[in-house]
Amino acid sequence: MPRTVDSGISDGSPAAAAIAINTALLGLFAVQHSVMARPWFKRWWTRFVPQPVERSTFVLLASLALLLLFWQWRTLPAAVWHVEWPAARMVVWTLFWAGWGTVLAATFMIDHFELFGLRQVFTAWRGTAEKETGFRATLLYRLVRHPLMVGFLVAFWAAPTMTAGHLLFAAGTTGYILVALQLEERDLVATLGDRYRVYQRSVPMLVPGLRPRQSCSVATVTPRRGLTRRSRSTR
Amino acid sequence: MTVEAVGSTMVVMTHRTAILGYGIVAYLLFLVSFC
Repeated sequence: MPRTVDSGISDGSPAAAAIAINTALLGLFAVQHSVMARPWFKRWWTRFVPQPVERSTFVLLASLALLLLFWQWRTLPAAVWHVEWPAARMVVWTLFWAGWGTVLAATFMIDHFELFGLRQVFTAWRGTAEKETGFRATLLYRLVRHPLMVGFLVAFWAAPTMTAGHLLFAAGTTGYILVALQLEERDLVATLGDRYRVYQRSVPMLVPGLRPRQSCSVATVTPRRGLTRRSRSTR
Repeated sequence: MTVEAVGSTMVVMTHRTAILGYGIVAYLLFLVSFC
């Protein structure tokens, strides 16, 4: 299994074929991720699978889509940019790891175990009702509405050497993230109404400080049960 | 506790344990794929 976006299959096939295959792999992941996250799909899907494993099934299929992507990814080695100055390379690598650190940290600022379905199956195993988790606009979620995605974007673009394949991956995932966030927020607004609109007006989507914060406090936004879960699980 | 009650409890616990195992496997697969 390749370890990086630049160490995939290199079979000498034409660049157009490699781009088509890579795009299809990204598209498969995007479709799985977005369709399974929609409320209408969850309502239909949980007629066939137990409610407690709905999220785990999402995680399972997303992982399989990722594994397929990693396995079949075609390398496009042409360099788009290459940072040579060692200090600058270190800065870019620092950004790269900061991005992944942000991703990991953001999962714990909401609920890491609920995000990946573990809390749901554990609660089912104990036979207890799920507890109210509430809306947590804490730490990074007070700076931007989607710090998890900010972390991904930084990690994907912070490359001292940007190859054509890496660029395709970064551009494809960036495009998907921007579209998926619209879908997610549309669902959140439909469910939360003004509560989420207040959050949208108070906190920028991806770029800290891009939109001036208004007088209302994010901390006062306390959505109903389950709504927070949607905010962190849908894409 | 009757035999039926014991059997019913075992069925429920088996079902719940299967759900827990499924969730753990899904999470581990995610870790493997991502890391």
